[in-house]
Amino acid sequence: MATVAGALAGGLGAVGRVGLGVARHAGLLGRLAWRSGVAIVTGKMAFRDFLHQCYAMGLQSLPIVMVTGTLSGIVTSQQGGYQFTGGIPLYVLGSVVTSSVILELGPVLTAVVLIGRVGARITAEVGTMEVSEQIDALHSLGRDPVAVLAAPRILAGLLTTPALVGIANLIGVIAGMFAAKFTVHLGMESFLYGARSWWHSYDLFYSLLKAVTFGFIIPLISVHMGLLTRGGAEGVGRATTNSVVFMIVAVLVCDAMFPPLFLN
Amino acid sequence: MADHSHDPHVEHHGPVHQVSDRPMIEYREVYKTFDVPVLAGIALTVRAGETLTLVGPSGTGKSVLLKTTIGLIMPDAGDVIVDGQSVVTADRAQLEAIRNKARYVFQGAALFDSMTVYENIALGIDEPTTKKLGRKEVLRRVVAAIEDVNLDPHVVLNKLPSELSGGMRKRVGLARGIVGEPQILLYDEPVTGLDPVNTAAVGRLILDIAARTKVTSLIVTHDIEGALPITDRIALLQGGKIRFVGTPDEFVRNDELLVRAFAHRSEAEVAAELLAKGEFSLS
Repeated sequence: MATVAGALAGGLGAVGRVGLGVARHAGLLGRLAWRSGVAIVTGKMAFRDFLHQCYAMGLQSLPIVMVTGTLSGIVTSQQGGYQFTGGIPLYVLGSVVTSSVILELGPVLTAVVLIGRVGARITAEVGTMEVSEQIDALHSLGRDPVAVLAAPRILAGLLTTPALVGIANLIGVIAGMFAAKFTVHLGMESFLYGARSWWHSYDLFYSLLKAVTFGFIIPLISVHMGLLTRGGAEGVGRATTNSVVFMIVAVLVCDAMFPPLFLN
Repeated sequence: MADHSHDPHVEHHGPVHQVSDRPMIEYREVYKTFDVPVLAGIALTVRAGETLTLVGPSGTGKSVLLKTTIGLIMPDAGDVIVDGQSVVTADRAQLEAIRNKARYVFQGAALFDSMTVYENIALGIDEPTTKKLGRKEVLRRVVAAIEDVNLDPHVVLNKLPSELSGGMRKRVGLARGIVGEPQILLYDEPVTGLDPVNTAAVGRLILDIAARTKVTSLIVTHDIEGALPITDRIALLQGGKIRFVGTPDEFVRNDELLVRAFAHRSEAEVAAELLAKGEFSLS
């Protein structure tokens, strides 16, 4: 009896601790987002760093985003072609590839790339600043770390991610079209006919809305986790790993919430 | 304890300059606990224009106390009063005003990696003053601060911190502290990692700045020998409390083993031996 009560108490304690942890992160994230927004609106954001972040997040991510966009289009086209051959008219493949890339693969794969390339870097960078007292130095010099570090990264994420997703979408569809031609011999006109037949302009808006959401939460979480870093080089490594896991879960949860919220 | 203050045969330690009676920094029963209690009721006053050196065993919260001065760490209980303003109850604007009065020289320099030496040091001048001075005057002050810390402005001005040696970074951190001519300078191990010549040079610089600008200085250091000639008073922190406060002369002539262990190298050896036997404790 005592063992059962002990296990129950332990389980409740664990749930309570997780709940407290989630509430703490949510509170800190909300405050960081609010203060970043205020810094952007009031013009206190470090503008030079914003330009630098646009370059690092946008231009420097472009090659890998183009590669993943291309491959996502090719893979979708090849698998769709394999499944449709002999059963469904092949021009439907145009719609399947276009919808898959624009609604799902373009935004999500771009987000995953940005988590690995940008989010991890931001957490490691801010975490290193935290453990080497650079954040304390900013405070001591009367500079607000939110205005200097968080605001430029969040605004850069908000602006560059939709652009990257747009490019990934375009390249994915084109790559899918060429893949369809070479694998199942579907002509480009037939592919485009299929794409146009089931096209909704809203899909593009939906895709870019996802991009804006991911472009907001990736830098937000990565800066937040960086600021929570404690304990030297090991702490930076731990914070970066936790941050990547946190960002992936957050992106996938948001992704799962999009269809019921915006498609039905 | 014998009074040697007027004895001409006893070597005098400490600087000779006027210190006001006005308190600039007051620690009022400051408590701070992390996993274990670190500060357990610190009561200490630093007067305007005074140079006070804080010594004590490693890990006893000297840097924590220094950080409470400008609210980088908030006390669990007690208060820190800087120039009449409570750090604990200060709102954002008041805390910013306190931070603009003080500059903190970090142990590891804490330079911003993405900025040049010039940009790092220029940050030491607060934003309103920077706007008022203009680019040329800011550059002139940055160059003067670099020269003050024995660096060549032509060599280091446009370099990134990653291109400097540890000692050079340390001195750039010091230049960032002094460039804005603050009312309060908080030094966290200012000479650790420096060679003897630069250690002496930094000591002279601290003394010179104190004499020239009447700045209130609080120095955390393990370099007692270097601190004695430049400090007005020495405080010893141990076990979360201030165990001794007095002039350098009083410090070197104190009879307590703990104080002697910090004041004299030979006594430190004795204390280390007793520590190994478990007959003496630093915690």
